Amino acid sequence: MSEIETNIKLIEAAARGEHRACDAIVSQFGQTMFGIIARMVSDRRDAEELTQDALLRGIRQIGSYDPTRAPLKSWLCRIAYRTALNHLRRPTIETASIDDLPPTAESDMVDSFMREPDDHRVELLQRAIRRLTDDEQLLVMLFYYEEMPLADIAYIIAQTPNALGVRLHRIRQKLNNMIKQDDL
Amino acid sequence: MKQTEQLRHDDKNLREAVRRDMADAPQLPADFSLRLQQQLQPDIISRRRWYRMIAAIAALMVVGGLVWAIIPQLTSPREATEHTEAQASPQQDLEVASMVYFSNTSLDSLLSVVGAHYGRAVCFHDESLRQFRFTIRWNCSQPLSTFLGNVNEFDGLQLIDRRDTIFVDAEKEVLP
Repeated sequence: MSEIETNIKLIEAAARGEHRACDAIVSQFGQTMFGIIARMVSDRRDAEELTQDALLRGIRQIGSYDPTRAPLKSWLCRIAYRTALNHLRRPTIETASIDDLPPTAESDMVDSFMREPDDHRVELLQRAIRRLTDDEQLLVMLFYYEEMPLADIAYIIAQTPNALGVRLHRIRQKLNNMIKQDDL
Repeated sequence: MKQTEQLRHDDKNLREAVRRDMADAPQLPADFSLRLQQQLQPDIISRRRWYRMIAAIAALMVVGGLVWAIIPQLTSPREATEHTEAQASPQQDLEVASMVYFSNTSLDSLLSVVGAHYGRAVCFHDESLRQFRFTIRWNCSQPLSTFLGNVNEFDGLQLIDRRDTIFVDAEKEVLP
């Protein structure tokens, strides 16, 4: 049985009220979904309730899941993202233009800052990440922490992978600029 | 796009910063799974309710089918029996039709009916016997002698058919 089939059976078992299946779903998908929602909705209780809503929607609508479009985790994350957007009554996150790509010279500096291992830089970056917008933090989290492919992230937040790539480059430069300004 | 994917591995500082940031991020409460299960309960109950309704309908259909299948079997033998009885019935019917039931009837009344049927007169040697009361069945299709034999079974009575007359007498003790 493939991983997808196993996960679908897990969700179906949860829908039948099986305690262990619910636990497994929460531990496997719940925290990521909560992470997405908590980035967008500041109130923790609201975020928990929205995560619950999103999981319930996923469990109830498992019949409409199409494995050929995205992995189950991405499908559930998309539901979580949509649930948070509905809560915030926002249509979508802001999109990036290809013109927003940073100049090459500056880009090299950013690359150097991000790549050469340095604990002080990590601390500076950690502080800077918290000053990013919710949408930017969400993208960074899904890309660097959840290690989701750009195609899956694009599926979750309904953007093209190229636009997301541009946006990631912009975020890196923004982080670099924040740190520079703080040093000045 | 491949270059962008590569950032995930190349940006070691940023990746570590995000990891540390996520370590501080709020976690789902321990009872979250339980709460989720409680939220799922109405679904499960409602689904169970549907299952019960479907099961009840299915059971009704099965019971209905069984009843439908069994009733002809239950009625057929009876009909067959009735048919058989009906075939054998002329004599029985005649018997039933010729059966007269006397309940607590005086011997006087009883013999006037029976005598009239067989064309006999009735003569009581002992007038007191007229008030003897009987509860007895009479099959008028049988010969008179049969009926008289049945009545003579009663102690203290003797009925004799002689010269188109039924003579009624008190039974005489037979002396040794």
